[in-house]
Order: sequence, then C-alpha cells, then structure tokens
Amino acid sequence: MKIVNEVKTKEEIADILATLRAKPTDRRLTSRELLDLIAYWGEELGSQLTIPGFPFIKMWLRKANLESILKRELGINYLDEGWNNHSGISYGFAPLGLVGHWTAANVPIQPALSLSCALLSGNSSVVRVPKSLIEVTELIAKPILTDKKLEKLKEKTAFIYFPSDNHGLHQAMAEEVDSAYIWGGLESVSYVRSLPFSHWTRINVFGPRTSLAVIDKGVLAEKEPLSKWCQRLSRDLWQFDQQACSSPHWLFVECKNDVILNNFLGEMKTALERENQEHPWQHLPADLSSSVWEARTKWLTKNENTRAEFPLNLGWTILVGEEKDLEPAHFARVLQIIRVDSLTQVLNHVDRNTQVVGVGFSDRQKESDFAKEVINRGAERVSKLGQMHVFGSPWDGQDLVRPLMRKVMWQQSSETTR
Amino acid sequence: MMNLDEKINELLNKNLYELPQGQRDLQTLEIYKELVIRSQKLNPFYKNLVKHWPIELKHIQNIYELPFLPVTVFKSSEKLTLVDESKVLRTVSSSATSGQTPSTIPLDRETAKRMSLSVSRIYQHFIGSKRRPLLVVDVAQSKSDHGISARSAAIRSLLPYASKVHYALIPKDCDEFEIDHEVIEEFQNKYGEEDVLIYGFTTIVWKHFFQAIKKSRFKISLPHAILLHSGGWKKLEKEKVKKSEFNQQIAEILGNRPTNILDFYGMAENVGVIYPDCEFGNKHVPLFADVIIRDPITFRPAEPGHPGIIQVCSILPTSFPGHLLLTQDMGLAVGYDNCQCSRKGISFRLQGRVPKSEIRGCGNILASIEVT
Repeated sequence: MKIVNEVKTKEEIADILATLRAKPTDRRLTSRELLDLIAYWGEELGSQLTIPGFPFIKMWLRKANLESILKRELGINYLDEGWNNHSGISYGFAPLGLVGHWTAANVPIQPALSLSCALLSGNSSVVRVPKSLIEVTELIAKPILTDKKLEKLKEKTAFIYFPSDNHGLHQAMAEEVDSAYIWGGLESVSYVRSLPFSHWTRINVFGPRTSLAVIDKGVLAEKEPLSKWCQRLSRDLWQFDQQACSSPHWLFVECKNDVILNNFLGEMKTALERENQEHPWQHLPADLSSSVWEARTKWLTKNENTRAEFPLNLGWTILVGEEKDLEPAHFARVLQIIRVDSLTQVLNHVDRNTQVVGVGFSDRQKESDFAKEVINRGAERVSKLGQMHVFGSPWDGQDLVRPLMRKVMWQQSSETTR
Repeated sequence: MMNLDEKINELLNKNLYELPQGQRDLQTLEIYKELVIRSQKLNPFYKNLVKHWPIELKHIQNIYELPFLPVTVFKSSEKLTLVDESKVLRTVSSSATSGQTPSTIPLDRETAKRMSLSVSRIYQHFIGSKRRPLLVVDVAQSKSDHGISARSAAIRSLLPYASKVHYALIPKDCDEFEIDHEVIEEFQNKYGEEDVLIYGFTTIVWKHFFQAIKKSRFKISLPHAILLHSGGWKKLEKEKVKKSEFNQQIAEILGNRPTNILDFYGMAENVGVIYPDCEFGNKHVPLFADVIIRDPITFRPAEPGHPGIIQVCSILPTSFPGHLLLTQDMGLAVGYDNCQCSRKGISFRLQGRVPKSEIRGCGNILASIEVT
C-alpha cells in the first residue's frame, strides 16, 4: 500500500482534499482521544534508529510531551474540553479545518513533525513530501495508514508528492487549505508564500535561519567538565549533518589566553573525532565536499594567523580565528570557532535570522542577561549546548499547535443554570 | 645532486607514457615534496595552509596525502604567487563559466618555458611533429597580450604545428561569431586532400561551426583532418550533447572519422598539461603529472570505476603553487597501466562538472528550491 501518493493533476488534488474535508459519520474525537491516538502512533514507531532525527520524533510524540504543549498553548482546561471563562464569556479553541504542509528536504522527520501539530489541533492535513523524503516518511507514517487503531487519524491525513516545479499543483493545494505550514529555505518559503491562498488562510512560515553557540570564560577555566561541553556541542553539530536551522555554525569563545584556547581546541577535536567515528558520513554530495575544501583553504590562506583543524577526510572541520575572519555558514560539519574578548561582541551577530543561541555559561546571572539581549535582537531560543535541536514549542518564535486553531467564544444566552 | 629545476626538466624530457604508475610515483613524490617546501618559503599564506595540514610532510608517503589547493582559490585571490611581479612574464586567465571570476595565473620565464615544451611534447605524441595547415575555429587572436586567455593559450600552443593558420570565424555583435564561408572554402580547396589540423573550443566548435554549417547546408570535405577541441563540456551539459554524438556528427560534416575528433581535457591552472583522448576513449597522464580521482567522503583515491572529484598534479609550475589542484570536475579511473593503447599510468574519463546537489539547508545564504 502506497503511503505517499504521487499526484499529477489538479483533479487528483481536489479529490484528495474533498475526501479530507468530508465529515466523518461518527462522532468527533475529543482532544484527549486525539492525544492518545497520536501518542500511540509514537509508540508504534518502534526503534528505527537509522533515520536521522528519529530520537526527536519519538520524544516529541510521547504523551507527556504533547500534553504539556497543549496545556501551555491552549490552557489547562483544553484537554477536559472545558471553556475558559472570563467576564461572563467563555473562550475555547476549534480547528481551522484543513492544513497544507509544505516541508523542506533537509530534516527527514519534518513531514511527520508538521503533521503531528495539525493532528493535535484536530485538523485534517495534506502533506506535500519532498521526493528525497518519501521513503523515510513512509516508514514513519506507516502506523497511521496501516494500523486499524489509528483509522481516525488516517481519515485526517494525506501524503502526496509532485515535482517542486509544478506550479499548477502547488496552486491547487494552496487554494483549498485553511492553514499552511511552510518550512524551508529562502527561495522555497518565498515561493510558497506567494501562492494564491484564500483570504482566510492562516499562513505560518518556518523559514531560513542559522544558529550559533557561545561559551564563556568561566566554562573554559573549568577543567573537568570541559570535555562534556565539547561533546554536547559536537552532538548539536552532528544532528542533520549541520543542515538544520538549529545547527550551530559559529562558536564564540570568550578567551584571551592561548593555553586555555588550545586546551579547549584539543578537547573539541577529540569530541568531533569520536562523533565522526560513531556516525560517519553516509552520503556527502561531491559539491558539498568540494565546498568544505574551499572553506578550509580559503580560511587558512586569508591571513597568516588563522588556524584550522581537520582530518584528510571530510569528517569534521574546525576553523579558528578572530571576529574579523568570520564567514557565512559552510554546512557539512564545519564549525567556525571565533575568539572574542567579551561575549557582548556576539550580540552584533545576532539578528532576525538567528534561530538558536546555544549557551555554555558558568554564571547564571550573566547567562540570564545574555539570553535577554540575544532574544531582544531576534533569536527565538536560547538553549543549553547539546539541546539546540530539541524540537519544541515555541519554534521560530511561535506556538506549534495554537496557530492551527481558531480562538472561539460563547456568550451564554440566559442566566439559567438548567 | 640535481637541484629542483634540473629534476623537473629531466622528467619533462623523458618518455611521456612509458613508466608504470608505481614507478612514476616514486620518482615524483620527492619532487612534489620539494615543491611544497619551496612554496612554503616563498608564500606565507601557502605556508599557513601547509602548517595546518593534517599530515606532516615528513610522514607523507603518497602523493594523495600532500597538501592540495582547490582551483577556485585562484579565482578569488591573487595572494598565492611565488614570484615577484617583476618576474611575471605573462598571466593566463581561465575561461570563466557563468557568474564566476576567472583565475589569473602568473607565469615566470621558467614556468612558461616548461609549459610550452610540455604541451608541445604531448601534441607530438598524439598528432606527430609534422607541420600542417591549421584551421582555427575562432576569431583571429591578439598577438601581444601580456595577459592571455586560456583559449588564446591553447591556440598559441598549436602554432608550432601549423604551416599556415586560418581563422574560420569572424566576430559579430555582442561576443557572437559567424562562419567565414570564404575562408573555409578556400581552406578546403587548397588543403582538402592533405593532412590538416582543426582546433577550437568545444562549445565554439559545436555552436558556431557545426551548427552553422549544418544550418547553412554548406558542403565541407576534409577527410584527412584531425580536429582537436578543448575547453570542456560544461556549457554543453545543459544541451545534453554527449561526446559520442559530438564526434559522430562533426565527423559526418567533415567527411572524416569520429576517431579523428580528439577531445583534450585541461585547465589554465594546470599549466602545460593536457589530456587528449587515446584511441580507446581514455585520457592519459604524462610522466611529469598525475591525476587522482578522490572519493568525496574519504578523499582517498577512489577505486577504478568509482566516480570522484578530479585532482590534477604537475611538477611544472614554480611561479605559483599549482602543483596539486582539486578541480571542479568529476571523473573516474578506468585503470592503471592497463589501457589497450599501451600507455602506462592512470587512464581516466571525465564525467562532467561536480553536480549541484539538492540544496537543503535552511540557512539564509542558500537558495532552497528543491530539484526533486
């Protein structure tokens, strides 16, 4: 049975969307029932560890996790189907209807993550899956479409594929949805945003971002846990091969002392090499491979004082320099380590393009002040190192379930309590 | 004890394709190491690269472990020179593909001399030393440029083999060309029954010579012509013109055989080394050079039959650190010392440019239109 269906005509899309909109003959699922089914989906995924990001989707779909998100975004009473009362008026939430998902190709679990937000909010979904993610999506979505217990979720879900340059089919999808979740890089999101959505369609964009990390001098001075910090950062670097929005490309280290810096670099090198041995490249396109060599060479020949550490293979790359040497993100496990005198210098590099700032601070107050500053400048999340990729709510500065719902109100018609 | 120049010149004058790969590696490894050491002393930026290379020079036992430079570094920087400006005899610029800055390569007297001798020896090996009438599928070139393009350099390299030179194209507006029918007719009337040479850049031969002749239904007959072309297939990749189709169709209009259409691979940065096709369609490497096909992940030499990124090596240049260069081309090794043409060393084939992968990052510096 095909899970991701290739569509070729507008009529096929129209049929799929009409089926998704059709009202089920039996009763609507309660919020708790939906939550239980989605959590059951997560349990049925088993332990398919070879999918990049698989631990995240497993963790995400845990009942406790989903429940906390629903309560945080929609209120404590939401799962009890209760209203929130305020000044005699009752407020609640209702699904928008049909959500269109345009997902990017760089995060294999993204179609499933995006879908789960729509399911949690009681919506139906049509998910356009990038060609390269069809196989992994079929693995992750299989329980929904094959397990009888998840029949109700199946009624609400359609995975489709069509070529990215088929404007007609993009248009057909856009015209019919009540909400859109759009993920991807600059050109992709700009294109999808420009599609002719209906005037009522709520559009949510998770667009191109980059991330960075910082370590303060206090952490560098601590000898014993230094290797742990490096392991955490390596773990953040490795996930999704540094191609996710939350992947750190620059690490700013607050350090004036060469000995301390060298010590840190030694630990970083060890951590990266260990990560490389445990998780070597499975696939690396030749042009990305070339670009890593160009990055290494350009860095070392730009002036006589830049430093770099790398093996002969493409396993990992550290480029070490000063703030003036900083370059755009290189991807493919290339980490620029920038020495600064003070972490306040990092603020110049944080803006609306920054998704995550991973932090390693020894002083809590200093960390709190820094977090507030970077958030003011545009960063959406400040995470401890090792947790930069943990997908959660809020993401890119927005809730994940709430945007797919209408906030509704009920004004009672009379004072009677019967 | 020979100095570096003497060692280079000695190899430059030996038989080009007779030494098996293992023996040539033994002869050239130490020369490459000397070139690296020398380049470090003369250029502080190159020195910084070598200083950070993952393997210390004294521990290197194979050419593939030596420090190399991507060719693109010469497009973005003129810092990597080994000679003072006063010693630069001329510069060679690469042909820039769309949107790219060309490389500018400085040649001193010694490097320029070796470059000429090397190309001359390779040509002689493949087409003989006899001078022949030459039809250049291009416009007449300027004679006295200090800086010359790769196209001009290629044409100049053939002039010693030309008894007469004729140019088949005339310039039109906006960098376009048209066929000079008179010149071609005169050429074929005079030399039609003789051995002649034709040379042009691959795209120019296809677009401005072959297609123009086909369209005009102009009759041409040069059955004893050898057509040499270079410049690569990158601009023809979009049009999906395969080499076999190119050879067949050009041979048809010339009235000669497809095996007389010789493609040679080369680049401005790999001065003096060209890689013509042998009669079995493989490319071979002269003794004073090398080609490594690198696996994109391990960066070790790929096994024969497995595609990889081409690195070109040459002991010839001493005016810039162009002795070990990572190209932007894909290729595969056909074998070592076992080509049916009897030429020793690696035999390889080109597979085109390193393909642009589906760009995935969310990073705002990358365009993310999926190609799937």
